[in-house]
Amino acid sequence: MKKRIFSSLLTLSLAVLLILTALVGCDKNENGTNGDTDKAFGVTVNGKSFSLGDSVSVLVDIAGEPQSIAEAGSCGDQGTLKKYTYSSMSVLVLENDKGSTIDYISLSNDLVTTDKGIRIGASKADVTEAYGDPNTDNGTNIQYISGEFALKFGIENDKVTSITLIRTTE
Amino acid sequence: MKKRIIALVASILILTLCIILLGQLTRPKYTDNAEGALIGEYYDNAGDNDLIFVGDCEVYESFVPAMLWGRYGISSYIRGSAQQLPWQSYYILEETFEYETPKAVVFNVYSLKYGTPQNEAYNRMTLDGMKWSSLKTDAIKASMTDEESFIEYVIPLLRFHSRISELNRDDFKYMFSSPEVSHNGYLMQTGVVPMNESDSMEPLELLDYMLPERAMQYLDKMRELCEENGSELILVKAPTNSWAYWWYDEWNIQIEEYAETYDLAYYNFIPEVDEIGIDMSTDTYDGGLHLNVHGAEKLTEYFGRILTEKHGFDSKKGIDPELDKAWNERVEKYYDDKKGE
Repeated sequence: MKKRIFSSLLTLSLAVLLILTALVGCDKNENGTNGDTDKAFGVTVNGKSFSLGDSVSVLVDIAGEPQSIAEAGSCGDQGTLKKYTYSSMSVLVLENDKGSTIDYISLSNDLVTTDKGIRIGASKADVTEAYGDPNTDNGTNIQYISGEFALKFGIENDKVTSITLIRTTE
Repeated sequence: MKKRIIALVASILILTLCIILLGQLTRPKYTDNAEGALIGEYYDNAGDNDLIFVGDCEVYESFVPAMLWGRYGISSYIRGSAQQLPWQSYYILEETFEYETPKAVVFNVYSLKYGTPQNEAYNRMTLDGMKWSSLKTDAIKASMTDEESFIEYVIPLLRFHSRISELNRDDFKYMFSSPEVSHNGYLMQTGVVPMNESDSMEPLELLDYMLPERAMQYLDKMRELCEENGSELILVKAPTNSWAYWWYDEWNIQIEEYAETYDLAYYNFIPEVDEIGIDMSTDTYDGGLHLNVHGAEKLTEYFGRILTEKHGFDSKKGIDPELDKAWNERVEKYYDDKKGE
């Protein structure tokens, strides 16, 4: 009888171990790799492009070191927001345990273009020719959305006055 | 046959016990990240609170219940948590009404910028501390991101099993109970990191300046819940405003209009910073994102006066000796901790 109970408990323990082993094997991907199929909008600097969702090292490789970096923490210690300021753009990077990714790009003059060649000062027609019909157009802003990525053009007198690329998840 | 059934039942019980114990062992204890422990601390302090705060970090870093009692005789508790989303505030508030009916509820409006589930880590900091009930179930369902699953909240081991290889002493020490980290929901921060010029620079541009419909629906639900329970809903915006967590004028106008429509009080403390006496070179611990204890005390002093002058709060001191005793102990502990940090 005792032998049978011992055998049952042994079997049970092995079952628990097997379950735990299986669980460990099915770990979630926490490496921050981006499995997104949405098209990430990007910009071109010195003939090279980088996009929303790229790592900060891609930014620095292409655009060089920024003029300044402003930092802001987060409640609950869930990462740091860093704003990289260049003469022609501002780039927001979210740094956390999954890595450092570009979440926001704002162009401040016509020296940098979008990855389809649109720069501040271009016409609204240039934008729609390059990107097609926008998802929204309220007269002063036109926006293109691709999943979590967005591209926003400010328009005044039919000309592009601002260009902002935003990753909408926070 | 009977023995086999007994053995089977015993096996199932042992397996269940193993899963529960391992779940308790592997779940995060938040000993190095106190924000995750706040929600669970309420239950030992529920009842007798005339004022309940709900909302994100801007409530648990901006208002000091020990001081509201000490200066004004107002008993209060802060049910705040890191990035507490509007639907989480709603379910936490609904749960609170099952324990007590405060005279007023204060909700910090910053989280109304969020219209969708955001981040599992923040969800966990709010939801794991709630006691199991249909409200917690609803809160989880409303909060989960695409990557999360409900069963992982029910059986923590499924989510946290990978921590088995990184367990530390605290995981064993606090397997069943955690150390108290707050003062009635207020999380004390005594450090000073001044706000500098770059912290106050221009905010980021948004795609859409309308507060999300889903967030406003949950504000409606909180308002209706307060009405049903006879509690006044007071809206506030903490005085902090930095480029990374900006309170846009467009949002402020929407809240002002909402408050006017439903005859609610709304206090945006951002333009009141000077009047409150807050100095962002000394009263913040993280460059202006949150107030430290010095800034929180100034704001609490200011807000306590508003509560007594405009919202009919009378001092409850000297009425119930038990209440006096409990609060005197809390106030003493608060000042001891402030001195000791």
